[in-house]
Amino acid sequence: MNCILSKKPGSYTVVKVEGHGRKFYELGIIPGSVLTLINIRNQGPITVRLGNSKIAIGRQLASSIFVI
Amino acid sequence: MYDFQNIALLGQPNVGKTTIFNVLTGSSQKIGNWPGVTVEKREGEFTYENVHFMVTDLPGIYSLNSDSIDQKISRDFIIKSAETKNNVILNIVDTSNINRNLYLTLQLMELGISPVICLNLIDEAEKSGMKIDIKKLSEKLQSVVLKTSGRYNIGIDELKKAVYDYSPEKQEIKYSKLLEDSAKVLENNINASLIPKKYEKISRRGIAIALLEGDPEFLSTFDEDIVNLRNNIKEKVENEIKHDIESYVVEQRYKKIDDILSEVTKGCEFYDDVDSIVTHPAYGFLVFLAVFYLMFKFVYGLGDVFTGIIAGIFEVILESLSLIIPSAYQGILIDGLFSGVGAVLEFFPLVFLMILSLSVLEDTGYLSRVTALMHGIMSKFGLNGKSTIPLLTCLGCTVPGIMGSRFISNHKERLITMLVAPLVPCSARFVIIGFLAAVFFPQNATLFTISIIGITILLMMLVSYILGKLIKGKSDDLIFELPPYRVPDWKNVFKMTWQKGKEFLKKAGTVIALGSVLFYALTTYPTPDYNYAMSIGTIIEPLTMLMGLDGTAGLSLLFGIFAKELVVSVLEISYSGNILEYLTPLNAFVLALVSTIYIPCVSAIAALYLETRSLKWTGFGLAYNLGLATIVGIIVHTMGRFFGF
Repeated sequence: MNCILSKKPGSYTVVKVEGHGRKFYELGIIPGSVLTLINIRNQGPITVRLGNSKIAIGRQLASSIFVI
Repeated sequence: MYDFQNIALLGQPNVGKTTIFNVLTGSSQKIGNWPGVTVEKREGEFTYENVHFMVTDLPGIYSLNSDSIDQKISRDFIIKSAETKNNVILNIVDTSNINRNLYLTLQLMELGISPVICLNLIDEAEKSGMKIDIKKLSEKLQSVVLKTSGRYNIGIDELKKAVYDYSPEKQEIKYSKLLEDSAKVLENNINASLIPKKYEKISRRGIAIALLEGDPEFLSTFDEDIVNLRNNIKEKVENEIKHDIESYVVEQRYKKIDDILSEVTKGCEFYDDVDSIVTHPAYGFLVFLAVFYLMFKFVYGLGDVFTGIIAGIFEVILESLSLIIPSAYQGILIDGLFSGVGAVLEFFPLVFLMILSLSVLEDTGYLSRVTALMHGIMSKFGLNGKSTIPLLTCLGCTVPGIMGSRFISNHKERLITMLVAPLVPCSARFVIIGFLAAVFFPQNATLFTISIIGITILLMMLVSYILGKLIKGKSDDLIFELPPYRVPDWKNVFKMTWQKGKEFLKKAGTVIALGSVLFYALTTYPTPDYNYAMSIGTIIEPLTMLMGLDGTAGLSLLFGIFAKELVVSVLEISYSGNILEYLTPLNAFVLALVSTIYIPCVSAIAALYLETRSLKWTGFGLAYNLGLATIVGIIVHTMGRFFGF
């Protein structure tokens, strides 16, 4: 289990979401959901795909998403 | 059956709700604000089989929790409409994201509300190979479910009929035994006297689930005993499931949705890979630069053609008017009113095309990519990626730009965005820049424009960086959905553009007309050789001379406060078309620069006050704009002279 920020583009399953729950839940980011990391860089938000929707997540928030 | 019915449109963002609203209500729309807040409220109406339907478009929200102002508005409206029978909630669902969208649907049903469900954008989904068994879905949701597409007018008649025939159904959608039992315990302990009047009409089960989920509004309005009981239940449940009850409730909803959809949908995944380039740190910027370069090229290229045509038409009109109008009024009407307004109207195509381009970019979904792309940089300057769109909107007009900052939830970042918004050249200032560029730098108009914009953008970054350090408060991180790329809904784009363009025309018709006449009067009375305008000009001349500008040019800046376009009208009137004799190219550059930076127009000042609700910040905004413009004007003039211009 690693923070999504440490990953390279690809598909991962969410294991745990720490804090800031509701905003993640509303967008469907819950344990068990599959996220595809589209873009990640050293600074600025990451972009992920969940089902047919794409989401931009700031680094600070993204640091609380753990995936395998 | 009632002789009138209310319909409220509810749905998540980007589900095509507005398009449905547009096809239902046509031209009957009224746009205002929700009481007490600055969130846009749209209402409209239509008639079907002699029944009158009032339609309200609620703010797009992901869930019915009470964390944001949009959510509070929508939820309060829904709770209120549960009181009377002749209310229909139309739940608009984006078919391609049906699983996430049904989350809101289930929350509605928890409150005891029976919605009519529209599977919208069905054309997109079915074209991409998604199959939906609508009959089965309707059975499982125990509701009316329709396939619709606002844009292609699919299912709109069926929708009207469904609302006409509407009768609430009782949905029995249950979650896990653990959750239902817990909710039941809480429910049984909430007797009628303990329920705040506001929630009387909604289902007890809904109240219990909202309490368990820890909705802040419910927790704060209910009695301490109830909240204590809720906390006890929460503890018990959490012991059993080994994690928090809040996410448990959420998981239960999503689980139920998976259940419902299991035999209903097929071929759900279709997406594009464009974003791996468009939001890419390096390629993304290239795309961004290319898009905006093309946009400016388009706006100015096509704008110039139309501007030439309008100028020609105006000339003919002025000539024929001078034959009809008695000579006593010719001065004030032709040299004052018509020349002033005409000079501004010539630039209407530019304004129109600028607004149009931004609407198109927004409708395609590209602007939200810009937000994601720019957040990294913007946050270095005390701003937020979300500041990008309001600031880009300012290219059209500062007023909607300042108002568009509303959706930046962080106070500090929103304040900084509003304070620096006037530094983004609006279309009115493009009128000035365009006018001076055409007269003084016909060969290098683009370079002239780009350097003015470049300098002001640099100043904007500098100011927001400093404000970011000075203003107290923390910055927020962001998370938001990137809407799918769509071909713009042209009808809607043109409608929005025309609405905003009309504002400009209205302004040209009133403020600018009045300003032009007033200015003409000031320059003509008491006598044309020694007039009021000259006296005012003499007073401010010592200051403007530091920037190399004579009293007349200074006066044009003063008038520009009413509406920036007046700068052009005033120059046109007072130099009577021979501006080249009075100003040097350096003067023109300084004038364009200073008029871009100094005080925004009165409408922008009013917007700044309305949005900040603070005289202090409005005053600060004005003062720093004015100070900055003066300093930059003096520096550029002095440097220009030094280098021999």
